[in-house]
Amino acid sequence: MIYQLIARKEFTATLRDRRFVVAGLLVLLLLLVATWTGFRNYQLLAEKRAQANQSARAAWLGQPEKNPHSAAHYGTFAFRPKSDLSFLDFGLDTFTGSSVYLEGHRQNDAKFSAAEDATLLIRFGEMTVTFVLQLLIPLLIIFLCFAAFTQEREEKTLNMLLSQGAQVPAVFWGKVTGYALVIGLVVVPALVMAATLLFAQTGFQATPDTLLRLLLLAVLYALYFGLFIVGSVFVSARSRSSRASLLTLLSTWILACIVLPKAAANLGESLYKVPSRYAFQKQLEEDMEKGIDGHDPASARAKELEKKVLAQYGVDSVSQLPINFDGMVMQQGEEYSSKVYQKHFGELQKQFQQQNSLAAMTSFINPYLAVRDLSMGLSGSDYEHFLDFKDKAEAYRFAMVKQLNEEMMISSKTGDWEKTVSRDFWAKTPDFAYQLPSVGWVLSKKWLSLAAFWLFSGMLIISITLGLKRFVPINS
Amino acid sequence: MHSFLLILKNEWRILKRGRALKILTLLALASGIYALVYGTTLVRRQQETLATLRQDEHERLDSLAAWAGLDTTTVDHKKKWAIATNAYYVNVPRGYRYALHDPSALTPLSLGMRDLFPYYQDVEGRAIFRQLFQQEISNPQKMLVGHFDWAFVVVFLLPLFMIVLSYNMLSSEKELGTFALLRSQPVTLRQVVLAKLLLRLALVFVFLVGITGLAAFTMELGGARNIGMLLKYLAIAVGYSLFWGAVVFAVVSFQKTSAFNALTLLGCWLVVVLVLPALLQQWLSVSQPMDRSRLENLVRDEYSQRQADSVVLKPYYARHPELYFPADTAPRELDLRAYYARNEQLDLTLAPLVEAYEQAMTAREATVSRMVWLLPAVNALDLFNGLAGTSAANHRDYLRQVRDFHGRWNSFFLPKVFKNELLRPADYEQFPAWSFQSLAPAFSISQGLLKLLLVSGLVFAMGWLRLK
Repeated sequence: MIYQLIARKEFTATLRDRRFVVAGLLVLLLLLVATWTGFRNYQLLAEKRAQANQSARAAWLGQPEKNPHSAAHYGTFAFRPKSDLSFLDFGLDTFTGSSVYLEGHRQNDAKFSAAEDATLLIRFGEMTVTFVLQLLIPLLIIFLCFAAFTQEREEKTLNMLLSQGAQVPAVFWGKVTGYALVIGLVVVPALVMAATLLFAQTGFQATPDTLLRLLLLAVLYALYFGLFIVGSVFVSARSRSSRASLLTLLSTWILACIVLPKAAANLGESLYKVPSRYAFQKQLEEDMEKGIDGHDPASARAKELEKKVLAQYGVDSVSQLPINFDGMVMQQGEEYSSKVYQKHFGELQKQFQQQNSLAAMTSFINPYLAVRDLSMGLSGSDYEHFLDFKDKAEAYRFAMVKQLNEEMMISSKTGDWEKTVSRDFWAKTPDFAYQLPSVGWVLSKKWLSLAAFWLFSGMLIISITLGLKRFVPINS
Repeated sequence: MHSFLLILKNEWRILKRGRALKILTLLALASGIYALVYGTTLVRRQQETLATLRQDEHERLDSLAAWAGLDTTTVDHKKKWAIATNAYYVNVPRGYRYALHDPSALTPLSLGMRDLFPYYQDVEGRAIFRQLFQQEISNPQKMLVGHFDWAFVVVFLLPLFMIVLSYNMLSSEKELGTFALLRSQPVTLRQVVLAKLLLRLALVFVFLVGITGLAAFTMELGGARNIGMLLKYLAIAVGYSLFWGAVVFAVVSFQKTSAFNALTLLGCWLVVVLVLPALLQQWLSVSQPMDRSRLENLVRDEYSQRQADSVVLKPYYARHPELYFPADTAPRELDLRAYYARNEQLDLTLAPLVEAYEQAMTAREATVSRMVWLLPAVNALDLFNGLAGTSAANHRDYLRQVRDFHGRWNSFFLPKVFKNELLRPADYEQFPAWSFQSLAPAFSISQGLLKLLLVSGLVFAMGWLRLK
């Protein structure tokens, strides 16, 4: 079969090309270094955060006898655990906060991102596995494939090949297969190392979910590289000279991987404004004070509640109530502030989405963006995972404060801020244990990127199949 | 000399008639202008926020000052007067001031860390570490890709433009068959390549000067000091393009094919601009790890310690004997002396930890600056950020100023709180005011620029020796 023959020829010829072997080894080395350092970094952080979570829990349990409301003010902390696969793709983890202070009356932001501790080097990116996979391997592919057809043409071997009865598609796909094998040689060792590290870390007991995520990542990158190989070989087939082919491919790479992602994100930010922290806080406070619709002031809400509760218990003053009315008022405030916060935080997220929509749209013509998004998602280091953590931490905070308010309500009378609960009460608040969402959840969040990636791949394959039919072997 | 000029002229004609220069000019202008627009938009938004804060502070303090002068005949007036004359109320919940990190004149050109760090801080009398550690609202996906500002165009894109413009300087002569003709002229190969390179550098300089001039015009940069800083900025950009000129020269001196040159140059770009800095960043995060996420826990733990007032006040008075007044002149509505003692104790506990953190940061930066010989792109960006006042060091200096201001703010009010004295309307004139001192105008570029030029010279010499 001519197809297999050509695949084998390309594979062997590439391995005999010293320049490629050097470049390939360099990339492989980088990949291994990135895997190792990424893993070390992940270990350091994961360990620290696990410890921090434990000590936060210990501090909570170790509280002396105190009034439940002081405990709500004391609060606790939620440290975001690193997802198992985040050592492959740091994603946005570097830029999102690592811990949230959970206390009564307010929803705090996640603080202390690693980017704040970084030097200006952070502006040059991080040498993660995905950095190599998304940016450097495509470049290696370009290096490998740009002369696939042009060289045969320049050395006049293409005509010989075709005159032997080889079909153009067979030659094309043969070359693609040969190059794919070469790239596999570079990528697979690193993947094996990554998988081994991962399993060693989890004591060879990774969850099926993690395995599925890793598998999907492998498939995703295999497709991504396939796309680049097919595209590059095609450009080479359609180019007049090796030089022209190389220039086309390199400028595509620069545009797709460096300029477009940056321009899209920056333009999005310029077009859609987000409030400053000051303005955001002020809106929250105003809505809390005057009501979400502006006609429901806090004082009126409290009065309303008082009337309702007095009627319910059939008494005429709060001091006659069998419960602590202050606890009730605080819980009402908590519920209201939660509503206000959800509203404004939701608006802010919408604004962020608008800002990101330009990048999402360009991902239909730029598979790099789609792959970046999917990769972060599968690694559990994208913004959706961060929001998921934040939501769960907030739900935990709300439940914790509610429990404290209710305890205060039933265990003391109105106006009593001194009544304490015993030390064993603190254990009644469950520990905060964050569970990473499932793969299905990730895929449902990433449908747009998935669609963009499939659509682009489909269009590329179709246009290549059509293009090969009109293939002109010789320069006219 | 004549033949040198002739090559220059010829080369210019060839470039002018080709397509590459036209496309590149268009791309370069578009990216340069967009970068200016982006930078000024971001800075303008931040300035709008700062202006809102200034107004908020102004209105708050003015109305408090008016309240302090109210006659206390009505209940409402009395309430207001009581707030405005109480040193604690003004010092902490009511009269707090904003410490603003004003952008410097060149900030729009190099936004640096300005999206990562907060650029304003409300300063109240309570412990400063209960107030710092804020984060400004920012889109993480945008922070990941970074700014498309002028510094990005110069550091990342300009080398690419130069590579496209010059990778085939010499090889095209061979590939078009004119090389023999060229060699038959009475000029050396060095002269030929140098002339071609100089022409391309000249084009780059024209572009740099043009955009810098445009920046001066659109950002309304006036004053000798700002223009001086802009010129320094230009000098770094020129130095950095000289480095890339030298790299091009060195690669071309191998006299290989165009494809080889293009790939090698892009490889150099990749290593200098992406791989080495990213590798170092990764290495730093593993070899010099740091973590301050638990500072907030410490703040809470320290502050929620339940100690009797006398226990916290005793060491406090030992530190501040001047604040000890055994007898009160009037009964206190609120006794806040222990409150201040607790807050100071918290600051004292945290200060060494924050200090250690800042030292670790400085150590990281020192590692980077030791490696800067190998990292011309990092060097250039560092200099740009320094001039623009947007580096991490600038932010730390701002935080230091915030802490100083917090100290001044409290030393004005605390004697009054401890003496149980009321604030008078005249006191409002004496309140310590925030004024930000930027490090940017005094920023020296000479060392960094020298390193850049030395490395460029070295690379150039390599090419020179090779090209005979």
